[in-house]
Amino acid sequence: MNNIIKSTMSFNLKALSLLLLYLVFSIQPVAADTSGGVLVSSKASSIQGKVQRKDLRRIFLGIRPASKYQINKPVLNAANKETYALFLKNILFLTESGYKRKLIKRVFRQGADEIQSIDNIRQLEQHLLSHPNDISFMSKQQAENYPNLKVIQELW
Amino acid sequence: MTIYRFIFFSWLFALLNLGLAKAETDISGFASIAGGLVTNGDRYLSDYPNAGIYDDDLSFAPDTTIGLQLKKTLNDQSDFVLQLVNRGASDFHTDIDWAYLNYNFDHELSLQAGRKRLPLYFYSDFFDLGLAYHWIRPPADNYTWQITSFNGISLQYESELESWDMLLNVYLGREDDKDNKLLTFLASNNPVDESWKNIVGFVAEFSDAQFELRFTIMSSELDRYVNDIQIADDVGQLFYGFSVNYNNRQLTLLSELNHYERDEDNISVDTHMLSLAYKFKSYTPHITYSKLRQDRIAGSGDELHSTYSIGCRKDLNKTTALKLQFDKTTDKANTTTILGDGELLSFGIDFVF
Repeated sequence: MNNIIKSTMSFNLKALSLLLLYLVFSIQPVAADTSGGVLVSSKASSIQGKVQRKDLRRIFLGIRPASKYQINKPVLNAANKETYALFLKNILFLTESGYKRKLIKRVFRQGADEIQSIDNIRQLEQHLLSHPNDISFMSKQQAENYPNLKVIQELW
Repeated sequence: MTIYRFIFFSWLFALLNLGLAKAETDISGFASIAGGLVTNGDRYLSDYPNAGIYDDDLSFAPDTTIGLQLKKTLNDQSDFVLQLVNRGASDFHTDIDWAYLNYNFDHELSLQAGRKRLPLYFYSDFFDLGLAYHWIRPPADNYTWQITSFNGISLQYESELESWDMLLNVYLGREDDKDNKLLTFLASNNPVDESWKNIVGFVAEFSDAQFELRFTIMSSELDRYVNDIQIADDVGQLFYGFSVNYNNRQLTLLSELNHYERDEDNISVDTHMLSLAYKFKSYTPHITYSKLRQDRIAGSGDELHSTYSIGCRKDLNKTTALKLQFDKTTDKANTTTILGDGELLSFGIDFVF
């Protein structure tokens, strides 16, 4: 009887190990970047020069950057899922769920400011125009369609 | 009565929201509305710090929490944060979990003075923030501490180390808790007053795209009164713990090991937890094992309980998640069983606003 129990447990452990290995190796990478992404603000903004990548990451994580760059608030562009995923991957080095968890924890653990997310590109443009020193990101191609926005720098 | 208090505070929060917004104070909040019932056994202790207990009738009190955070920026370097929390397990009494003045020396170093959550365990300082984890509540066997906040000062250093985010935190303080919820419940409702004095603690957190590492250590001295009779005076205690988490787009592995000791009383407690979750689109099924072991000592006895949990989280959107969970607890202590063996079915909705 003990042998049956032991062999069943051993089988279960092997099955669990195989399942874990399958789950780890079945993860698909994010699609390759083809268009590139840019950091944008309103043309009326007083933001000058490039923002250090390290500081940009801190800004979008709700952490104080080393320099302020005249930036008021960051806004997440959730209108294009691919651009959003590439921004998370290339600038924040986080997955969407990891980023969401970090933000929530920062707001309610450390009193950080919430970061606004806008899921409509026209509304994002309107927001940036009415808040000149707020920043966001979009694909290069998309930015060309909005002449009232200025490209601060290329991101990827 | 409790439901009326809940409605009252909900309206109060809404009114505060309207009024204070005009004063340019940042207001945010979170809530977990959870229900459940015991499917096997008599009662089930789901939340140790707040003594949240289910029985075999459907109840929404033990795990339901609503929190409101107000943040007032005073100037470029300082702000004030206040977090008020109503918990069903506390009859929806309003607790002040956070109330501190934050001063930023520079972009990496800051000092907080006032009231904060005590950052002992991995989930201690966001224990009530259900949206930040996949369970209905963090594993109960692992989270059995009776003091959850402290008054004092805290120094934080937040920087980057190569590709790792780093947070170092040193804190000092004290907490005096009259009629402590957990200890009063464990002492058969005889009132227990607990003080943790000369608290000194250190937390180090490191995280990159996939891994999170956390080390924590805290020492303090304890005073305890049962029915106004002092049973502990300046008793030294030490807590330390270590967590390693792995997250990627789909797979999450969480682990936590903690140790607590009081040399003078020969008390030594070990807890651990291991959890596996896998995200399929908006669904995250998960399985967890947690355990607490306290060896038998003269005059106190032993404590040995463990829990298997299985559940699923469904993300409705970026700020709302539904949850369903089944817990099976086995209590094998020889002398100090908590509520015995039990099984609990619970469900809930978590959101932030």
